[in-house]
Amino acid sequence: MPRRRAIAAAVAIALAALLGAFAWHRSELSRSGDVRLESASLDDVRAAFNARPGEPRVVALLSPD
Amino acid sequence: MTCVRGASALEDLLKALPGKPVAALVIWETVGPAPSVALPPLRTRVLARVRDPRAAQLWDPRQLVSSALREAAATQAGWPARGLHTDSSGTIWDTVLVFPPGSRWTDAPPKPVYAGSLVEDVMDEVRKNLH
Repeated sequence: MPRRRAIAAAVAIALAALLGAFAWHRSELSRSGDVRLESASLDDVRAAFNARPGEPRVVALLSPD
Repeated sequence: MTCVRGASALEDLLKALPGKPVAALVIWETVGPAPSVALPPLRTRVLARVRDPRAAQLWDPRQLVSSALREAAATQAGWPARGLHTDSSGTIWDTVLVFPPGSRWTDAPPKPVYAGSLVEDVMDEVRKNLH
């Protein structure tokens, strides 16, 4: 019986950690502007660039590595 | 790692200009020859470096933006091409460009008023060129 309780507790902790990580991920992204994780096409880039034509645009090319 | 610091520098610049109308576009890309296989998505902690709602972030593993900018710089007169930082395969990276209001990207990218690298080192110049 104590063994079952220990397993149940471990599963509950793992589940809570997973849900916490998911919630953190969503909150991190929601604080940002438009974020697209899928591979962009040039049309996507053009649309993003031209979205606010009356403003100066800053474009940075960066590597995540 | 310098690129990730560049993202933080851009975020700091936006933070220092609250309310200023400016649109930032962060193009995350691979460096070196474009990979032929699908890459995993960007890590959240990398994306979280840029949180300002005036910034959009896109993932460009095929280096399409780099190629378009390189071609425009080579074929259009007056590009500040010296500011473009390239690796041995010609990929433009750790580079920031400033485009004036009214610029539109149609078939080719418009001409920037400023291009510089490494991103974290040139934020003062970027700021000076934001009108």
